[in-house]
Amino acid sequence: MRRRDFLTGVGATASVAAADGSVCTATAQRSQRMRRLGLLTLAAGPAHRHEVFETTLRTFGYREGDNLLIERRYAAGRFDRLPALAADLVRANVDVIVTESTPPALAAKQATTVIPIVMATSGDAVRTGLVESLARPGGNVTGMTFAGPELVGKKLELARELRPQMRRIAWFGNAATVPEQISFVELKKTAATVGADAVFIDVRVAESFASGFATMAATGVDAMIVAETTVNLEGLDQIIALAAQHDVVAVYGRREFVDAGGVVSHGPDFNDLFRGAAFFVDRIFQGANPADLPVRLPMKFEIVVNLKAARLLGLTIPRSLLVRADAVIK
Amino acid sequence: MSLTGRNRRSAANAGGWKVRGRLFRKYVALVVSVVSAVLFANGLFNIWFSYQDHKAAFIRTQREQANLAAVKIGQFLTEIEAQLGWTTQWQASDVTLEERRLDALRLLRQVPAIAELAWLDPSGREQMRVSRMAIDIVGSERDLSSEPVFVEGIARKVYYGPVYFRGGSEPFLTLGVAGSDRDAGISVAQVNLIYVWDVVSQIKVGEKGKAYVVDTTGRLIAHPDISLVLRNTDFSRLSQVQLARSGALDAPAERAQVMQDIYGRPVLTAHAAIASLGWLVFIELPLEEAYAPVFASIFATSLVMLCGFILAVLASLMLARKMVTPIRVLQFGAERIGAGALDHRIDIKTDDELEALGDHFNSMAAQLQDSFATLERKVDERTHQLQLANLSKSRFIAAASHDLRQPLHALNLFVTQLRSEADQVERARVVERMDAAVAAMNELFNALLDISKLDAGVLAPSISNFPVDHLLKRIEMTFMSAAREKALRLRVVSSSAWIRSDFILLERILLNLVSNAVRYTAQGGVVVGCRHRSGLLRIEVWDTGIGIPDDQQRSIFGEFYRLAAERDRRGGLGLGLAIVERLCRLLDHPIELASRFGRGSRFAIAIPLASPHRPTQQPAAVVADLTAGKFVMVVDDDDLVLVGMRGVLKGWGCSVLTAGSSAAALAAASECERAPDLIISDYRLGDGTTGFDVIERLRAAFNAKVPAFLISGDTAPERLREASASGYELLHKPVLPMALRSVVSQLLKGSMDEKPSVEAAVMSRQPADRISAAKPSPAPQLQ
Repeated sequence: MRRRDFLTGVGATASVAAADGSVCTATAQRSQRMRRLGLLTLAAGPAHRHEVFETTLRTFGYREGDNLLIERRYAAGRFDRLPALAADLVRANVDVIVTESTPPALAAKQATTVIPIVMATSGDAVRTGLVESLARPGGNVTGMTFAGPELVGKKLELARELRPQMRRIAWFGNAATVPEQISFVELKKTAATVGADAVFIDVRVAESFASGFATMAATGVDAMIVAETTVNLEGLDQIIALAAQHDVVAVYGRREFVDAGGVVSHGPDFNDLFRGAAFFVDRIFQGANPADLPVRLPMKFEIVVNLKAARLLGLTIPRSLLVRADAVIK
Repeated sequence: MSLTGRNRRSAANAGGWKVRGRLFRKYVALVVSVVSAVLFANGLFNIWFSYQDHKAAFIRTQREQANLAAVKIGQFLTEIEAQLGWTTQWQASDVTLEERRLDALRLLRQVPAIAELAWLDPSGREQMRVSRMAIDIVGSERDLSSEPVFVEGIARKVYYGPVYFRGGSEPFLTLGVAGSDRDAGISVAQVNLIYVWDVVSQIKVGEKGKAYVVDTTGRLIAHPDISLVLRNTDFSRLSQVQLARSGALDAPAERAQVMQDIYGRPVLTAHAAIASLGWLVFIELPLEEAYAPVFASIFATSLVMLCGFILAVLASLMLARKMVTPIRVLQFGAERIGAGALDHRIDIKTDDELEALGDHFNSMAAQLQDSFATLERKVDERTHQLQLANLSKSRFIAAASHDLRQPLHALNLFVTQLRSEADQVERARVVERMDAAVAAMNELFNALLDISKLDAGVLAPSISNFPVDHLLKRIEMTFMSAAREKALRLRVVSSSAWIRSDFILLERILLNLVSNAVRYTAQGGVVVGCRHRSGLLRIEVWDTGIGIPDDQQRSIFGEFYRLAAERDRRGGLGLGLAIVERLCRLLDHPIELASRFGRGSRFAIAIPLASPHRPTQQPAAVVADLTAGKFVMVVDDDDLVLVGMRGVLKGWGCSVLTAGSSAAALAAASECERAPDLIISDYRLGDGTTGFDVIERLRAAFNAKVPAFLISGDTAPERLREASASGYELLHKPVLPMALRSVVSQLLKGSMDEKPSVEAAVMSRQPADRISAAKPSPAPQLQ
């Protein structure tokens, strides 16, 4: 059976197979009008995943400069700037707004109920109110979501694999985000079943990382789950260092952390999510109604383990973890 | 003969590219329609069969693809099933839960489709569960013994649960695989069916075709457009789904149908079932793509047909032109030749029957040309001849009138003299002289009449065999006294030969010859003799007269030709020899002349010999006096003639009734008590009627076939022919009394007497078709 390449295959297939069954041949049908696309993200600037998104769009026949115009709005971690940026995109009369993570999606939805919004990533689109249901989003929002709250249990488990005597686990994220709130509730419940405690460490900006860790150290947190927020992502090196420094077992949501030195991550491939987002953008450019496009979930969640980082931290990776790791960094 | 410049251009036009005309159009239409019909029929057949073939082919393909897809999907699940089977190898007691858990984790890595894997112990309690997303739970002891997965799984070793949708959108399936041993428990996996979507998306159906899977309830499980699946689209409404589910399409032939897809578009669908799951895999191909090859084929065929049609038109134009051109050349040629351009020649070089026809036309035209040329030449000749004849006739008339004047002038003088002469003897002498003058005139008129008769061709020689001596004796008797008067010696040598000829005509010839001989011999003599020469008898007339110069020997047979030396002598007109020549020609007796000017001449006629036979009886001519007491009717518009006739007839003892016109005749006839014995009528009466009509009317009036004859002053050949055609005798004025009497007697005698002999006929009859005898002696006087 396929493994890693399967996902790329899936992503490629997802982008290739279209709604009415007609295989999209790249350039021919797309190159007529100039399309306008707006990207709204909390990131500070372009990232690899954004590139993947644009590459996938090219396979659909949308080439920036030829028939595509991309308006990029980087909030750089400033949540308060999101509404203005969203309004800006609306004024720019884009055909679709692509958002990364929940806050921009919410801001975009606030800014317009007409312009289609494609969520490249979002945690629990239903419970945040972005869509009515996965099968029928209603409204003008659709895209990819990954049911963040459901993944909490697994993350807790992974933390326990690394530190079996874990007593207190922290949720390192943004308390203002609804999915995180829900995730934290789930975490608390699950932790209770294994006799552990859960705390929410609210870090909305990178500057508060240090204080967050200080709080964790003060409260005897020995494990933490790092929420998949853009802020966290942008400050991943800092977080890894701090976690190592404070000897907190950190379970990340995406493999970028593990590649950078984190020990273990569990989550979907975010590049795949962006590939999926491109698929939605293509459908919308062809005239599909976002209300009719069901929200999609990632097919695969991968567990990535960094043995080297674990050794450095003096952590032992149990066999059960190694067995289920989809990727092992030595 | 080559075509002239103009003709060539016209002919070229007739055969050039601008060939018009119905024949050309007909041929073009014929060829085009024949070829088009063939092409069209062929094309239609092609299209039909290709359509059938294509349809059969893609139906077959569709079915195969559906089967293949079903197999693939079945395999996908079977593989998962097989993988799961590994986890039920051990007995429940053989392995720890932790070990099971590790095993399960390995399986999760192997099989991405499994989202959750649990193990139920033999009693149906869940002892281990691993999950990709949720937390693993070991030893939960959850009682699932009544769940269908356990019940049926244990019973049948494999359990495929119904498809359920997580979160309302993700399709999942519960798969339970039990160990071979009941103690092995059962492994239960939650299979994420999004992976089936992956398989289905990979299935290529033509260009725009697709495959999709529908579960037992008709709910869409997998479709290349995942949105349809996630949106929980109900495919059970589709007729093909309904039919497939009902099993109505199980017959292989019906498995491929034309239906509508979820969007209402026409598609060709086929399906296959995954028996173990009860799922249905559908293959769908847009109808236009399915039929594209057919349309392409139709298009290609139509194109070929069109090209073929165009070629056919071109070919037919060329062919028709080739066929029609020579025909048009023929037509044109015939037109021209018919219009009179006989020098036009038809030029066709097609090496077939048409060329032969053209050649025939040409030869025909050439012949026509020749004929025309000949005709023209002949016409010219004839015209020339006629002109000559006309000229000679004018001369003839001039000469005749000249020759007539002499005796007439003499007669005038004699009459005047008679009036004043008292002396009886002198009167008798004058009367003698008048008689001679009349005789001369009579002779002339008779000769004219003879010529006319001969020219008219109304003379029919009556050929018989007779001894030539009879003729010779008569000649001797006729000219004895005349010869004596001129102190000439006349010797006629007799012969015992018999000849075959016309007695009277031959006599006439000889009379003329001997008369001429006697006339033109001043001294010496005339000898008439016979010679046998190569089967023919030559009668020769020798004289010692003036002779005829060589250069005039031919011309003397012309009318009125007389030798210059004899011009001013007394004697007849130069008609004698002309008559002789015509008679000889008529009897086909060649005549020869030998003469030496100043010494004499010799005329010879060759006559065929005949075998002698018994001399026929020669009864003496009995001219009975039949005229006494007969009643004769005379019709003539000339009073003098009427008076004269009355006188003569009365002298013969007849009673006479005269009438001056046909009306008078009929009027007089109605007053008669009895029918006349004879009717004599002038041929041309004043009131426009002919004597013929008068006689007929009178006959009708008296209701009796009264004998009759005609008298006419008209010697024209046409009159002679008319008269002989009418059946009545025709005498010409002036009529010799003896001739008159003879005819009258003959007719009065009627049919009672026997047929007279030749000589009797000679003596008694002088019908219109006989020539009058020219006698040198004075004729009896008219009384």
